[in-house]
Amino acid sequence: MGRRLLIVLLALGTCFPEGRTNARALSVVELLDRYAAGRFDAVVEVLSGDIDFADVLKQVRRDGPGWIAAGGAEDRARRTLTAATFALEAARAGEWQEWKLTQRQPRVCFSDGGCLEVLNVLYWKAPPLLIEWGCDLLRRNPSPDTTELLWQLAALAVAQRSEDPQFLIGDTKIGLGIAAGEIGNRADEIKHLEHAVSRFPRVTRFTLAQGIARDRDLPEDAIRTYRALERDPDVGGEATMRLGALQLRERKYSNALSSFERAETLTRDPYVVFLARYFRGQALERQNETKDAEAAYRGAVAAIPNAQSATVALAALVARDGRRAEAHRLVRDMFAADPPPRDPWRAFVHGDDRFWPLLIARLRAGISI
Amino acid sequence: MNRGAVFLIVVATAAALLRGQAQTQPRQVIRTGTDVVLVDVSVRDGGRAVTGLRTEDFVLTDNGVRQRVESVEATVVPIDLTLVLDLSGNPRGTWTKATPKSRTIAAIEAEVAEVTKWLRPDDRIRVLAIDTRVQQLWSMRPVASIAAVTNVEAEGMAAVFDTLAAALLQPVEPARRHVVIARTKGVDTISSVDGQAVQAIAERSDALFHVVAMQTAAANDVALCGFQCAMMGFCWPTRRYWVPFQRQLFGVGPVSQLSADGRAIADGAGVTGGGLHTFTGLSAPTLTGTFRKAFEDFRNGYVLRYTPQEVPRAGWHTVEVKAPRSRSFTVRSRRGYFVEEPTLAPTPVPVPEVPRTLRELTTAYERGAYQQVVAGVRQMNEPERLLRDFQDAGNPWPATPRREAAFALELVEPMLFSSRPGDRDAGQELITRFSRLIRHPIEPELFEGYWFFAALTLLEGSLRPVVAEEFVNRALDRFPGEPRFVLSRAILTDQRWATPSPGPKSGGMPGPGHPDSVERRYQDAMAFPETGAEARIRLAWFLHRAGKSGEALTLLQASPTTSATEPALRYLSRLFLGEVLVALDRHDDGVAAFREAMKIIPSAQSAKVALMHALLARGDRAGAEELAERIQSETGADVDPWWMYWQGQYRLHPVAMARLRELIQ
Repeated sequence: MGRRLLIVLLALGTCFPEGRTNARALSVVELLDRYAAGRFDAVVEVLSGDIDFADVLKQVRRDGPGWIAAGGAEDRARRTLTAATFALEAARAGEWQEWKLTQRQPRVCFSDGGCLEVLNVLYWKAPPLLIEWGCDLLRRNPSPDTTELLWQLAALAVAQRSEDPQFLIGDTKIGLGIAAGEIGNRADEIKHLEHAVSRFPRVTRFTLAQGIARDRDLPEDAIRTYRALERDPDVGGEATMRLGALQLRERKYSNALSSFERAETLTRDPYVVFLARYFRGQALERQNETKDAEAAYRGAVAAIPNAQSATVALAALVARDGRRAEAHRLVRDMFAADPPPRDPWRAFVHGDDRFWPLLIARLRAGISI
Repeated sequence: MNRGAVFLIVVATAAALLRGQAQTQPRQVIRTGTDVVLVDVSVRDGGRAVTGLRTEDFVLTDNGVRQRVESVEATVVPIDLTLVLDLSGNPRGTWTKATPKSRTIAAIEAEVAEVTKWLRPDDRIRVLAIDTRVQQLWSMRPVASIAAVTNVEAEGMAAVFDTLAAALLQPVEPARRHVVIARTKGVDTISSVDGQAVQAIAERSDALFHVVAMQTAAANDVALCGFQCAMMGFCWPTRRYWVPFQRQLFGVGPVSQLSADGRAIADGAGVTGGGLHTFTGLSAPTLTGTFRKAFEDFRNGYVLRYTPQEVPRAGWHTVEVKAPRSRSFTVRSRRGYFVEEPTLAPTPVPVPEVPRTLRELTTAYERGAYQQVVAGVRQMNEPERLLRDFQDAGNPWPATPRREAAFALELVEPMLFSSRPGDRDAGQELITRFSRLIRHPIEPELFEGYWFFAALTLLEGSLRPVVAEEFVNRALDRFPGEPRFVLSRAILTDQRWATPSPGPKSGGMPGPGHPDSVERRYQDAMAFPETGAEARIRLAWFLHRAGKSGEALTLLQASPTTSATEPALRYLSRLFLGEVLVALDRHDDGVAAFREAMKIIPSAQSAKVALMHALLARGDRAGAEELAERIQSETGADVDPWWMYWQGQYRLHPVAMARLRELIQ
């Protein structure tokens, strides 16, 4: 045991050559004051620095309730929103640094020589717990309102950007065993989407998010969700496009192509249209239908000009066909685009993170009132 | 490793290309002069560069046909260097602290500074970075113009192939040489193209292409993951959980094999005269070292110039260069080049004064010629065919779906007012479809609100209240309490009472409680300042028709109706007041009200006709006759508001469309 501890400490030294000593000490109360005063960008800048998010979480838990109460009854709702939104900002700033640890456990062996495999243990790190702290804060209001809906949508955006389905729907490896990463401490699971859905059962974006979270590990469940949402006016197009993407991954090209075609009839959202056309291009390319693939990529570029994935795919095709001047022009324009457009493929699993600027702007406006 | 310096430029082709880029609307490509090809060559005898060779010392073939080498120059051509740096993270998401951005930037700047030491003032450099997306840290520029890196994305996924493709797809000026040196950990996780595509691009590229394998870094990534799993139990990612796929170029150890993608990249680089550089023995290749060798080869090389003869100009040209003076000479040069057949630029679609086809209409719309579009649509002989073409063609502006939604409303107007039921149904279907397509995924937007209003004005104008009621419910669902929609609902309820029809499409006959609904809904709209006056006037007219002229009078005499800002509403309030007063046997007051209405819109007929009747009823036959004469002789310039009364807010349709057109700019 002592030897293992030593190794672990050595390894920690490898991982954190500077340890956490450089992390800036900050006062969450001070940041909350600044955030409540509308100095949002300044607070985000601080959070984007070298921050110990575990300390942020600790302070938020310890000082957050007091800070909210200090505003008195008339400012309570605004301060609650401020604290919950601040928690989201912090979670988003830190989510790509450290999200969770899943630790394999040593086997437990007995004197008779028999050994017992112990399931893995999940430890959440600060960013997901910050989201949950904010979620819990807002859920104390007995009746969900539009402000909470905005917050829940923003929380979904942050959670999807983490790329971790487990936070949203629980362990997707259940039943697959230790080697697959199945965890034993299921009581520690968060299943954030259950909170959101229980508050807003008719908001189909949360239903779609459940499908997206199941897409990688539980494709059959995801397919059912996507199909059930097809006629939904808000998410039907995206659900159908994601169904096609899943079918493409399973190499069911004909099904995928028809899903992409259908998706375009259900929405005009350039994000969805781009992806439907981009994936269509990929499916056609894999079937050596180069001309049709080129047309599909062209369509994707028309939906989001200069988005990298389709632009490079198109440029590569035309260059291979000897049309170098066009390929050069495509790449030149892609680099010249300022600001560069958000490429839907590069953030495919980030889902609603594309709405973050809109949602955080709404939340901040609610705080500024 | 390849030490051959190669240089090839098809001067005339590139010049034509640059000309083409400079012109905004090239109608034709004029070929002037003859294509001149420059090939840079290095000749070595063992490890020593061979110098002093002349034209007669080289044998050069282009597609197998021997060419006359016109000149051999020992000058070193200016270099356009593209450096590609891999900043992607460990796809295994190991438990490590993220590198501060400042440190990443400092490392990049230090590395670039190391390379630029070798560059001359007329050389240029650009730097691309591999991460989740292709990043251009510096566009091509002289070394002296290099500025500090302000932002960089790192430790994400690896778009290795996309970045390499983008690096190679760079036009090169005729008198310059493009060199691409990429350093990568060799694991692609998100590119849209594969190794074979990069190979094909390299083979058609003018660049010298070297790839330096970061096998140590890749090995460290794997080792750290293995170590953490074995020793700490952290066998799964701790952050960033999405890796769409992993395509490796090479293995991680000193003795490792290339994958199919790796071989493709190596072959592609080889064709350009470069290569994929992996461990040699225990020595790992470096970016600076690789560039230095390539650069030295340039310095000791030759540039051969020839004009291709007896070979077709367009297409792939295989070039072979030999130096037969000694068998021990090793010649390295590019294996070929590609000449693209010039293509004519597409001719812009001319837009006639009255566009007729869908293409003409969409082009005109795109150019903002809205009145031409309106004229074209109104004069269309087969609007249903146009609508069908429009739906079959899909969105002509996928990046700006709002424009399509506004255009759909332009197209649909004649359909909704058509005398053919099929046309009207098709029109309704289209706007119903678009009411879904324009929804923002998160929240209703301003554009959507205006679009609904413009559509509602059309539906009110087409006098099909049952269909329109469904639509207004949808609009109110999206924009609860929007005054114009609340008024629209009241008008449609009123329309339905005024035009009862037993058919199933008309929703059956209005029930006995219907008048109460009309009244209630107008009262709802009266609560808003935007619609209060109009709702009050309309409610008054409804009450008058329902035999409640006294109540109507109270409403019409209230200040909101008299102070309505829109002349059409003021006119209607006076016209209706006159009618109500006459009905209440207050003829003189009625006459005064009609005269007030005439002052508001002098050319409108309805007030004159009403006045004429009132005068006649009062026994003033001469006055009535005089008015009758005036009515017949006048050609009114303004639309009489009464004529459009039953079409609800259709009078506001042009205003709504103008706003929509502003919003799609």
